[in-house]
Order: sequence, then structure tokens, then C-alpha cells
Amino acid sequence: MIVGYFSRGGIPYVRARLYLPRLDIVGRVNFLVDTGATDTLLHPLEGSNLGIPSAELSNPVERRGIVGTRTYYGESAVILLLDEDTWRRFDVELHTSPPQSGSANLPSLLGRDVLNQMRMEYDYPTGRLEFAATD
Amino acid sequence: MAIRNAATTSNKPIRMTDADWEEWMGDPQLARKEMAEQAERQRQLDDMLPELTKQYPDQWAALTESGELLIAPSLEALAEKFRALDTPPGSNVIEFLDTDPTPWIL
Repeated sequence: MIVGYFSRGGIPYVRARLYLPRLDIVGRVNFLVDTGATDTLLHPLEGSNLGIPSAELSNPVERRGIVGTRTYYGESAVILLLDEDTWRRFDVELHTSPPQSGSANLPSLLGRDVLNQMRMEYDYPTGRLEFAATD
Repeated sequence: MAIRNAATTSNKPIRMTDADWEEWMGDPQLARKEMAEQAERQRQLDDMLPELTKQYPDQWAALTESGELLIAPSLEALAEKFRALDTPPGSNVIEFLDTDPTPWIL
């Protein structure tokens, strides 16, 4: 079982490890669990924490959100979630946002590219947020 | 250490038991401890937010793994401080000291 948590504001998060092979970066990321997001997105707050060099981002793609269309940069990535005593691995095309107006404070999003590979139990009243990956 | 099979075309979750992966990502038990410590740092920073927001309105605050409180006027400036301190990637907890917080609509 992969265990997430609710922040003080009641926001669902899961802690992960992220590996970006091309950039040779391995680090920790908190993802907001977002069933509305098609893809997993890394926003500047976590990008800064990981030390991602914006100048080295390539492969621009556009993604549309509720406030309009933004440019992200596609990057092959491995997301690892702690599942009991092992790491559960997901290979994804991560979309990274460079620092841009209005996005600095946004959380990074764990989208359906990962979530649709798991069963999720979202039980805010009891504070339980759990995921079971399908083998 | 060489990282093997790091990028594959698999779109299915893979349960990793390979010792190299464990060595690379860290022992799961240690990682769990590290996650708990990061959660505690987040709680500490959350507790400090009202006072910090008064002192440093609309700036950025971070608490590092070694307990240093960093304040910077921008996320880029904060990232520069992380580089100078060589903080482990993703190890800091970060908050914007928002004097006019707006709920997210994602």
C-alpha cells in the first residue's frame, strides 16, 4: 500500500522520489493528487527544490488549465512511490514548467498517467489516503 | 553508481526488488524516516507562517534539512541559496509568505 497524506488545508499529497535521467537529477517531490490532470506536472516550486536547470529544458508542449494554456517541457522521468518496503516505479513523460508568471506557487501534480495505474482510497474524514498499484 | 534500466518504455508500475534500485533510492525504511522528518519540518514551517508573513511579506521561506531558515525575495533567489548550501534535491520545505492568499482552482 502506498500512503499519501492530507495537508493542513485538507489537500491530498503523496511523497515521491523522482529521477530525471537526462538531467541526472534524483530527488524528493511532493505531488498533489489531481485526478483532473491528464499528465504529471512539475511546477517551479518543486523544480527549484530539485535544482532543475530551466535553461536545459527542451521539448516544449502546451497544456491547458483552467486559467489558460501554458508551455511545459517534456522530460522522460521515473517516479517512485514507497509501497510498504519496496519502491513502486512509474515511467512517465513528466511535464516541467519553467518559472513563469503565476505558476511559482503552484503545487506539482500527480496526474492520471500515474493515478490510473492504481486504486485510490480517498477518505478525508478518517485522514486516510491510500493507493494500491495494479500488478 | 551506474543506474541500470532507469528509463524504460514500460507504462505499467514495476515493483522493484533489485538491490541496485534500493541502493540508489535509499533503503525504504530510511526513506520512510526521511519522509517523516520532512513532514515534521513542514509542520514547523506551517507553524511559523503567520509570524514570517508579517516579517517578510510576499517573500519565500524555506526550512532546510539541517534546520536553517532561508528567506528570499523570489523563488530563483531561494534556489540560489539551495545551490550555495548544496541542499539535497527536494529536501527543503518551501512556502510563499502570501499576504493575499487565493484558493487554487487546478
